[in-house]
Amino acid sequence: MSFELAVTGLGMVSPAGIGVAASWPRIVRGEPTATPDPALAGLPVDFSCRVPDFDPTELLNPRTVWRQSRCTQLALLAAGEAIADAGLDHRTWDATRVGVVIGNCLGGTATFEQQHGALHEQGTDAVTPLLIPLIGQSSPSGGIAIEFNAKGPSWSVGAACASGSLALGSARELLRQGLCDVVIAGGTESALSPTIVTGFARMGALSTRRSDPGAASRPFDVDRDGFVSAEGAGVVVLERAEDAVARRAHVHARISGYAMTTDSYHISAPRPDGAEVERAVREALADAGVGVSDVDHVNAHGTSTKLNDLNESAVLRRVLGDRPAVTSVKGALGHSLAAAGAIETVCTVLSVEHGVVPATANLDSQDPEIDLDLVAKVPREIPVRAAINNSFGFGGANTVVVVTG
Amino acid sequence: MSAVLKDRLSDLLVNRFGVPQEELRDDARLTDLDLDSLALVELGMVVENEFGVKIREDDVSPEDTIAELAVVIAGKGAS
Repeated sequence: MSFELAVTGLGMVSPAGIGVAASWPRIVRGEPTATPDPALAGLPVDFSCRVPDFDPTELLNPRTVWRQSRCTQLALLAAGEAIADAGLDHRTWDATRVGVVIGNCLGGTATFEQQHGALHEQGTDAVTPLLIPLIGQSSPSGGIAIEFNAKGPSWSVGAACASGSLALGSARELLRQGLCDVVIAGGTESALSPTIVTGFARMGALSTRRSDPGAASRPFDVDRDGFVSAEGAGVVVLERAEDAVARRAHVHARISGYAMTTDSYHISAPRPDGAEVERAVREALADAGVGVSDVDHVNAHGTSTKLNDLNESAVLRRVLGDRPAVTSVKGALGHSLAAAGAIETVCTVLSVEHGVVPATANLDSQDPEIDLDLVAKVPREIPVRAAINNSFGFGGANTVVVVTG
Repeated sequence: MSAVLKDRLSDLLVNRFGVPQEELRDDARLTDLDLDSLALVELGMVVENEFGVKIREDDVSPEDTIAELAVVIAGKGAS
């Protein structure tokens, strides 16, 4: 029998809104969120998907918020939402049994970039004494542990754009091994700084559709030309299924399987034959005890780059045929790197729970080389017995999460 | 020490360091407002920008009160 985790709490801060209730309806409808970004003005790619109306001093503890970088602030907000949603009280829980695992890729690089400028323009006295805690990779997991009284294991994990899913897989092991009773797990990213975005642009990874940013992220569309940089955070509260049932918690859905493989091929390009992505999908399904004919929905990595979408869709066609309803929420949200896997698992959980698959934004004309049942234009209401969420990262990391009802 | 300086310092503690307005008493110790040694270095940077005076590390400690902090800033020539 597979090892099942109950997802009892959901939290999401995305370019579609702050909180699950604000974000999810817009994601379901496939509403694009990319807009011109004043911080990127004058650069070859000058648009992004930012979290709208995010005022940390209003939304978070003002006494501590100025000590956190934006990516930690987003994670704190999503974690607070997820814990409240789980009906848990962090002031009274057994803190020693609560763990935190957060995927994080570029962390406080935006803060580093700003401070680097201050050092060179104004000298050493202009550098904040908080620089290191602000930009450290473990700042989001540590920040959540401090704010929400978690004293079990806490760490950040990195596997580029698969980091958010890797965090869920790591959290699953903490629960399986009995090291924790509750794990706050997810991913966060806020790296929309001029240097980072320019770096992605120089790779040719980003869409250059400056004339129409809202149409730039178009997964699986024949006219796609790259991804759109985004920020956000997704966090879930995970418990062993029997524990959640015992405390009569509301269970949104279950994480029943997980697998990770590595291409061992190239620093950024996917392995052309998709062999290791295929193995990840098959191993995750086997881990869950779910047959390919039970998979009703795929929340794809679907970045809107030429290479990813062709490669991923070929694997999905080969393993699952053309039956599952496939979507990519990156059409709406852009690509939030380390946060993406966590945000998309939150979406996958909601699809299983509510029986609705979001529309892929901007999918006007399906690439003829892609032979899948893609959900375009309008969301699709179908029962979802089992779904998978794919995430792939530079360096060849492939993670697959299986969600069941 | 001028009332203007105290008002400016109060605004700074509330808006930049998240100190609740109701805790801003003259005899409140900085440590009780969560202003630890790291925060005081940051405070020194902000004070320099706001008041044009430089606070050295040994000028203020977390055990000092708001009133004592204000005296140090005023003593540096700020108003």
